[in-house]
Amino acid sequence: MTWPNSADYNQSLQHPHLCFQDPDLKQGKVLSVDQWGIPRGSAGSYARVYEFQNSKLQKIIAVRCFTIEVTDQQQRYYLLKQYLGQTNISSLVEFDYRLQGISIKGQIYPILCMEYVKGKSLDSYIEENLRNPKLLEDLAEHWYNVIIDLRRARIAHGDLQHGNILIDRNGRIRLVDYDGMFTPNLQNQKPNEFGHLNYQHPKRASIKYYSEDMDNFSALVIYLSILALSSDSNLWKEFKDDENLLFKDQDFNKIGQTNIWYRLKQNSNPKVVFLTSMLEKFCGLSIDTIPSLSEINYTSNSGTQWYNPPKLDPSRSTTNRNPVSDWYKQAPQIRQSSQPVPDNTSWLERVNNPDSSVANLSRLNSLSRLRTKQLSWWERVNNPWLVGFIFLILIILFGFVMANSSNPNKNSFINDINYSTITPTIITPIPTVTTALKPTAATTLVTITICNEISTEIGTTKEYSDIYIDNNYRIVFDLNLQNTIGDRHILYLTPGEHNYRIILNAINGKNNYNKEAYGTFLARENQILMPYWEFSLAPELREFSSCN
Amino acid sequence: MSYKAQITRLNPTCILFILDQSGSMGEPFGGQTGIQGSKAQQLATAINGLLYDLVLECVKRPEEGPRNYCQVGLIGYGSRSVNVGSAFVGSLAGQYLVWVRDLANNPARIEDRFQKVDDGAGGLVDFSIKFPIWVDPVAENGTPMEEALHKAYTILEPWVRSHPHSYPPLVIHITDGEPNPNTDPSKPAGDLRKLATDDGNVLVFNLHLSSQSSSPILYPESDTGLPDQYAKQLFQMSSVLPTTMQLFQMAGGNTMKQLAGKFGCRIGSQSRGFVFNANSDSMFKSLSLFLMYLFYST
Repeated sequence: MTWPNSADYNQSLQHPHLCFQDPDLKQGKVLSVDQWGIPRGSAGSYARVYEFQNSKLQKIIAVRCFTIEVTDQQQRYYLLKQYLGQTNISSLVEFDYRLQGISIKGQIYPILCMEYVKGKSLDSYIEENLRNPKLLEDLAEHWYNVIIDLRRARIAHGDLQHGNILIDRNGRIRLVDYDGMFTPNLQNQKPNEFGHLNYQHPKRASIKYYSEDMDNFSALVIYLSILALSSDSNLWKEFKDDENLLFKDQDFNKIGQTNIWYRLKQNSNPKVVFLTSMLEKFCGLSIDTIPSLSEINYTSNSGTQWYNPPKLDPSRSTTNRNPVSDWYKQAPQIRQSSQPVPDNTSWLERVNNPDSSVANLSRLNSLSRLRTKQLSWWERVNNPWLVGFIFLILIILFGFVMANSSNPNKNSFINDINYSTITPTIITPIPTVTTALKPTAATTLVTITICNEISTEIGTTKEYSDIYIDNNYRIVFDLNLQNTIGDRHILYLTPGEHNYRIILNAINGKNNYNKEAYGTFLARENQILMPYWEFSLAPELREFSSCN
Repeated sequence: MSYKAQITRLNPTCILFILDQSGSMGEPFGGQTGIQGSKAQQLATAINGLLYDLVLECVKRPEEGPRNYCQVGLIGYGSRSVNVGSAFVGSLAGQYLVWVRDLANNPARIEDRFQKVDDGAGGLVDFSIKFPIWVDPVAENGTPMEEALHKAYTILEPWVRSHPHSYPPLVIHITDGEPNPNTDPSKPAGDLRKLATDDGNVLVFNLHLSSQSSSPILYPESDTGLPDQYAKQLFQMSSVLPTTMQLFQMAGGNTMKQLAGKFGCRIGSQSRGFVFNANSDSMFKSLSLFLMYLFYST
């Protein structure tokens, strides 16, 4: 079943007394109409929103009509309302989910009735006040406080962007669109939206990140943009595109290279310069290590308190690389045990004292792992041959268990690795591939391609640096998924078993090596294809792997 | 060639419809009696509905009206008066490309159409809905398909030059038949597909409407199984559906591919934007499917 589209809602809303199920709404009328009186809602990717006069209550409300089926929507809104009811966040609006909302072509669909905010969207408001630096500065501080309130209440919006941030007639910031919101009682209800690309961490959508700290990046993007505009309003003309403030998704992908980075570092306000350098660093960091606004300390008079991010070695040598099997630790499931961030320790302190008894364990884990590189068991073993052997045994065992296990969740070992690893089955020796893996004069091209069952290429490695051999004789490579929208990896897997074909292609001088391997892996709900894969070399290949 | 440019007002896209308005469009769809109207009538209803969808999808804030995320063109061919020309009627008549805002503000007229609706008490009531009209059904003369496609080329060639970074234009050609004898529409179709922005080549989709009741062939990967040279020619004229389009994950978690599956057809890696023997149902569905991708990427 497809859900009603704009035209369906617009047609039905021409007769509220027929389409609405609630007596209150039957008597009302749609206020957002065009010059012919035809309803005209605002279009988002999930819903159309109509301004509606509820004649009985003499009140204007916003009616949100959904164009897409959202999983667990009713439960989400129920739990959301339950949680928000216990808090008192002035930036949030009242809402009421009605399962029996509106009848479209004989079918009943839910609606969400919301408090109507008369006001301007953030970008229109900024545009109108570009010549008022003081007001923009205040707006930035107001924004800061809105974010602090949300963080303190353990709420994250999920899609902070100009269209969802309204400034009401009293100058107050109000947030709308709660389809992707996080509250602690919703931590297992991952939504299917991951925010506007022009505001989100470049990896947010690809790893479907959903957590109480998911707003940290976008909150900083907005804070920094407003602050920068208060001291340099020319930036608006230069960088305001259509669906953004100052940054666009390509700026987060080309970290520090695009014009906006350069221009912000020239800003007369040292805080803007500082925050720009922070944001620049955060783009390259794992998303669950991004601090919140309040955790980025900046003191102008007593000197700048610099944030030192964990070092990630771009050369990707094994010692600095997270082994794949560590990846799962960053998976949101593990984060469920995370506690609210205490306000008495600064984020900086916690980073510098990983052993202090700070509750946010998962972040600390990931940070300290990145920083000090806790060695995995196999890395502590010095004999690579032994390790290789054990690894192979594990692989065989693993494949066996996979093949025989109908419910992999029962087995913790499987749980630990199978979702992020593709089982290695390199069929025949490909010696030159291994030497070719590192760029040498003789090597002209090495690629690794992953195809799905119907041979559609879903990703390929692009550069030498994408591929290397680690100490354990595993070829490890990052897959540049080709089918991306911006940097959003779009191959999302349905739960279950998937068969994949790996093609190794190496051109070494005149010789073209082209080998295929088949692999199977399992995907479970909310788990996506990792952009990071590994498989081991057949034993015969090992002697070649270190020959250059 | 990536087909992943964001569609914005500063980086708009273009959708160009080419409508067969030749005499044979006056016949009903295959397997249907005349009650539902001719192919031309249903096509006009589909296009009017689709243009209205397009307008509505471009509204971000009702008070400011639709945003100019794209330009829309309508070329009709076969009609007695113009042969090949703009298919807009009313105040937009004669124009080839119009901005969404102008489209929204200038329908030829608003018709009252009747729909049966559940009255909530187990019965059905007729109620009228306002339905904007931009194009009227026409079914006259021959089928100057080659000329029409060439016209599209002359419109889009300057467009891609002036919008080098835009999501490339989408051409949707809807026909029910054979081109005029001794003409070759595949030449201008090939020229169209060669036009490109730096985000990809112009996409040409062909939708063939049928007077027969045989079942439609949707998004085929090869021309085997297509009954005649005209069908094969239309297939060859159609662009392969870009992978980003097939796999673009729309809100709600469905890819276009999955959505197509829900509409009862399979999309493969070599699937082309081509539907053969469409009945009125598959015409409506495939048209909205083509545009859905663009809507969601705005």
